[in-house]
Amino acid sequence: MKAGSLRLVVQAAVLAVLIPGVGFAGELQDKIEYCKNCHGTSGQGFRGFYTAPRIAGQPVQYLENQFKAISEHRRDNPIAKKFMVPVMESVPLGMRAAIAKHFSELDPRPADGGPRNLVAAGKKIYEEGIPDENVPACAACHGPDAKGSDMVPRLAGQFYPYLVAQLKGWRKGYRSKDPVNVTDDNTMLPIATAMTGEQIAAVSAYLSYQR
Amino acid sequence: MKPIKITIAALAIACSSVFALAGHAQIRNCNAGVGAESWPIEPDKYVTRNCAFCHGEGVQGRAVAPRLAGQNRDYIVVQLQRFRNKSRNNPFSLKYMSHVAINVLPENECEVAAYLSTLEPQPFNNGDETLVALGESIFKNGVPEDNVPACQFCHGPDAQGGGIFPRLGGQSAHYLKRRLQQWVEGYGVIAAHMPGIAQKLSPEQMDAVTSYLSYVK
Repeated sequence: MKAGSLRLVVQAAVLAVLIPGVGFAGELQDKIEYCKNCHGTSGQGFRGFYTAPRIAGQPVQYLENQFKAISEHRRDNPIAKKFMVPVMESVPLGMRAAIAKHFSELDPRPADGGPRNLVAAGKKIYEEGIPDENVPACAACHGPDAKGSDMVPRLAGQFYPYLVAQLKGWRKGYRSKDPVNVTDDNTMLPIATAMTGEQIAAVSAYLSYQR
Repeated sequence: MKPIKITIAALAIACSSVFALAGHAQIRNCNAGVGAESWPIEPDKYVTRNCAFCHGEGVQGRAVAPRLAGQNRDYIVVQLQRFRNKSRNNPFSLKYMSHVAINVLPENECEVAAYLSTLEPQPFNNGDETLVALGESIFKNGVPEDNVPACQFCHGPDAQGGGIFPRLGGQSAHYLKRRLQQWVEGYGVIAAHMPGIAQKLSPEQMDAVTSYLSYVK
């Protein structure tokens, strides 16, 4: 074999390795743009006719757990079923970790705050809980700055109407099981059902402004 | 021209660009009572005199001019601003609406747009009936494998829109298809997500979703 044709073979081999990689990167980018149509260009959340939550800054593990829960129809509120189930069917299993990593690293400003006059009451609930109602301090699990960790979601800067809808959703029986140990009750179930509408509004308002 | 005049001219151009940019970012808030001191107009006569020649009787739409009846107030106000600052820049918009929109005085636009939103919209029913089922699926679910989001997420389950999102239900299939094509052609890039979404639609998918929409009441 001449040196020239050897070079060609080597080039072809390098390309054969690279091209599928380029294809995946392109497909991943397209899929991320697809997510951002509804979740906002920085993952900050977005209000169309419906509301899509902030996914920016969420822990990777929380996002991956939710992807799985959605695929298995355990994220069972009507909007998640209507929009996210068909979406997740289109996301290859091998792409999910990269999508979760991308959004976990974004840090946009909070985009949809609740009533300002409820923030002080909400801060107290977040930091101290509601002992009389057996509601623990949210900060105990979600962290003092509400950034979450591992399987516990970030709440800081989350959309106000989304937080309210999720907390009230537990009363309606949505998300009732733990996303990982699927036969266990969701940790949030007894907590959210013990809260009044006013308390839910207050803590959601506080969180919606946290950076 | 003396240097001082050139400087003034340059400053004037710089200022107008700054205001034009500010115009992009600001959306007139029609709930803020700007209509209170507005020039008294009778919206029905105003619309008949100024809009119906192109937009048709009862502003139900005609040819390339879309139906305005039943369109959402805040969407109309945002579009008037985009016609004025020429960011809605397809050839028909530049030829007609850029000039017309300048003559809709800012103090009247909320009132005019609110009036248009109260008119009962009539569906165009001018799409290809054989594509309606495919179009409905695209509108409601998107095309996840092609990364096309569900149209109803922003435009609502009945394509009624809301706020700055336009009502699409019953709009002319021809008009809707041209809008999608114009985004692909590079016009109106200011329109948030729509240019990227339009680029992901095949010609057949565009025909389907616009055909479906033309029949939505």
